Amino acid sequence: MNTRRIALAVCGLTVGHARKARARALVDDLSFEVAEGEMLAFVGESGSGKSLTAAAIFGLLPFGLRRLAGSVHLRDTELTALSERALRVRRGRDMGLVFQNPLTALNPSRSVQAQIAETYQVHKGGTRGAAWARARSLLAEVGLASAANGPETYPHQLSGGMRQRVMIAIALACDPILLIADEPTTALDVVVQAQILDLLTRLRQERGLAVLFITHDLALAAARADRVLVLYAGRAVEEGDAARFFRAPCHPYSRALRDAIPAIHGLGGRLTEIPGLPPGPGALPPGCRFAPRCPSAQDDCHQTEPTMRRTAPRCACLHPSLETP
Amino acid sequence: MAVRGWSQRYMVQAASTEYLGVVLMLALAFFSWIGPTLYAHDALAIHAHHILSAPDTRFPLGTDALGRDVLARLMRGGQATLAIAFWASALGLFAGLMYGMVAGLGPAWIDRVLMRLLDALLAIPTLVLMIFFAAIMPLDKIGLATLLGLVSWPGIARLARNETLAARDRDYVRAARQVGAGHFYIAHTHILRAMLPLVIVNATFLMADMILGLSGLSFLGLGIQPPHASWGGLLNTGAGLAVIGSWWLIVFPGLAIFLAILAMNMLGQGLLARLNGEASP
Amino acid sequence: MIAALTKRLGDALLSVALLVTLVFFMVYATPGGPAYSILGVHASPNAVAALNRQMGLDHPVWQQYLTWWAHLAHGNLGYSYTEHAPVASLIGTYFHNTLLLDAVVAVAAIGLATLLGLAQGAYGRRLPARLIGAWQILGYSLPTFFVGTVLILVFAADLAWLPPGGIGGETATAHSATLWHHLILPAATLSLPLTAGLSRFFGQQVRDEYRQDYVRAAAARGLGPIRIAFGHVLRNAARPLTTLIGMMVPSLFVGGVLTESVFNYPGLGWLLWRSALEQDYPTLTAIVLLIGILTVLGNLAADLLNTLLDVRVRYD
Repeated sequence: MNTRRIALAVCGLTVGHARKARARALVDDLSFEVAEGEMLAFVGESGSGKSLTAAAIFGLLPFGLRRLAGSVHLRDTELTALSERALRVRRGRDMGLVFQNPLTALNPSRSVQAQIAETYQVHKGGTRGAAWARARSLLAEVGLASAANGPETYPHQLSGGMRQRVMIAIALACDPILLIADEPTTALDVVVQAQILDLLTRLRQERGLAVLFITHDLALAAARADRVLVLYAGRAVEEGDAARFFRAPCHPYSRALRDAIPAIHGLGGRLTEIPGLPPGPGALPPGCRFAPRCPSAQDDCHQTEPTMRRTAPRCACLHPSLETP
Repeated sequence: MAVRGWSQRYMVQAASTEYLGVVLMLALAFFSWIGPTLYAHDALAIHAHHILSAPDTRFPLGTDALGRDVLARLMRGGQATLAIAFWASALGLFAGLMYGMVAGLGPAWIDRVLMRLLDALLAIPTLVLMIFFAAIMPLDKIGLATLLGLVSWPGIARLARNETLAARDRDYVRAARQVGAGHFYIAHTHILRAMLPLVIVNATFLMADMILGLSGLSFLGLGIQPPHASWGGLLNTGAGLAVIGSWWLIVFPGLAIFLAILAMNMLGQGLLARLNGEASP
Repeated sequence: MIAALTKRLGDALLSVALLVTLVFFMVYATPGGPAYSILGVHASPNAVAALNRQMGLDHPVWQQYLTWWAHLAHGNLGYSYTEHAPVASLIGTYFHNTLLLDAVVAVAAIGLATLLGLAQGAYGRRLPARLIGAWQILGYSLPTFFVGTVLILVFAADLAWLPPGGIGGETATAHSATLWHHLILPAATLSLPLTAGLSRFFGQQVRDEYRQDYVRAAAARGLGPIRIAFGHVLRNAARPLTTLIGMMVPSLFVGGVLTESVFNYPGLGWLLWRSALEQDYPTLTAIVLLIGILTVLGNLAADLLNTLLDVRVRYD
């Protein structure tokens, strides 16, 4: 894996309110890398900062939020140093974004072919005809033969899964380095979910695409991704190889997440839930952020904020479980 | 805490629009009714030596072609304009509510007939209807209020009908019907109450329309007739003279009409924004 | 689709029929009746009775009502006693002038409102959007007759840049050379409240659209703000706008009555005003009817336009 080139390197990324200095950072000192052909899964509850990280990489943070620190490298380009205009050129060309809800992420009044072709033409220029030919071949690649060969197709004529394929086709229009899939299957039913994930897996293998897969579903992450990064309240709490991670999570939060997954074969055993709620905006407990909900919290957890371990298994916990699988 | 800070700031902003509207309207009412008791000049007194004199210390807003004080006439005109617009709105509101609730609560065929009729009525703009009726019968102030009220209700009626239809299928209204509550009781206790906020918002816009309509009618010479003062009428008689230099004859009545309409629009917009749970623009 | 279109056309026809009936009874219920307005309030009862007989006003209601329809069917709108001409021929020239003014105003208002609305929506709650919002409230609270008078005062009387009114020719016909000159002030006056109202409505539509995922998605694939605004948001936000433009027809006429009166612009609104002052019943009635029918047609056109624009339209 180390021989592959690093596609995306995020270092010390911190996102917070633009005007309120005292409010806490929503993404706090986050660092990670994704190599070409690799799929990194971002796991966390809603509000943990997963989607904000994606928005920060794209430079499209919601109004009122700002990147306060950190850098984002896409291959050799420092994205945070680019002007808005230069960054716009990268969006859609070097990095694609797939949204959670394919029902709303496509413009309802323009055909899907036109929306793909537009993306291609904006970045690559060329004739309209060439862009449309490109759109049709992309639609074929993501498995939408009818739209690839048939007449203009509008989003309302497609099912949710098919629309998500269109979103992926748009993201791939200019052969990007990186694809960020933000909960791409959450709005879809299980069978379609598997199909979309198969498609993503195939594409990253065929094209050497780096994929950042954002999900709240740990089982999905473990099954599909090469590596997993767990976020809690804006901070990375554990990072590691997906197989190892699922067998032996070392952070209590990761363990709790794993134990909350209903196993298909596990007839015995109760599902465990995580007591309490993640910290709201503003109020952060001193010490470890997870300590108030942690079943194995000790006194020092409430005072000292843990840092990420430098050696595997990498996690941010004062009392990690380091059992070898 | 951060969240609450935000919402509080929004509340203040949302509130400021409608409060400003209320304050403005109260100021205009004060000007029109209390003003004359505090002010020396009479609206009908003629100062023969001061014809068309520009604003000065004696006549703060100047005098008109007959030498009457513009400020005093503006106060009198305000009384007529605001009172007629108010009563016309009240009448229009009442008629519209009745019509809409009958359509909404009655059997389906009544609803269809009444709504088609409403469509036909809505096709003729209110001001055109006003002009038509004002042309065929000379009207005093009460007549004007009645006319304005009677031509302005279709919008409210449509709203009331739609709200009634929405309300009558709600569970608590069905429950009331189950236990034998009559039409009148249901209309009065449940449905009217449910649509009251929206009706109030639309009533303020109606009042703005009435001020505009009445002033427009008077400006066209079809509303309040001289020697009675009204804002629109002052503008009408002043328009010709303003061109030859007496700008004060149109600027002040025009501003008065503008401010009154603005007040009602601001009140309505503010209330509407609050009703929709968002900050005002 | 055909069935839905027929139903929509049927609705429009029914509305027109009801409108014609309504206007008939408005005239019929007039105290005194048309004869008084022709002969004057102090006319002798004998003269009134004679004229009523002559005009068929002594017939029973239903007979008058049928005659009313028959006349309308033949395009006979009555005879103007004050202008001494058939109303139908009288209205023609004035209607033409109004159409000219309204066309200029509609193009200006829709164009400006589109730009303002897009800007307002795109800026969300930030300062430019708030400024546009404040301007809108001011804009549609300003009465056209006040704005018009002030414009005349400034641009015609003081600066003498533009004519104060009329259209530069005989009462109802214009010399094309000076016509545009005469159109500027009335068109500006009439555009103001219309632009304010339209842009406010449109701005809210645009703001809602900007909250949609597809706008974020468009930004995420590298489209610039201009392309997003005109290529994506405009098309979706404009759908309700077509309905509104259909509903603009009456407001054009309402604003038109006052504006045309201020500027002595010989259009339909001005004619309505003059015939109201002179109690010229047949003309008055014909204009009311015409405006009503135009409104119904405007709404119908908006509906049909919507069907054409909206590929997702569903009929109920």
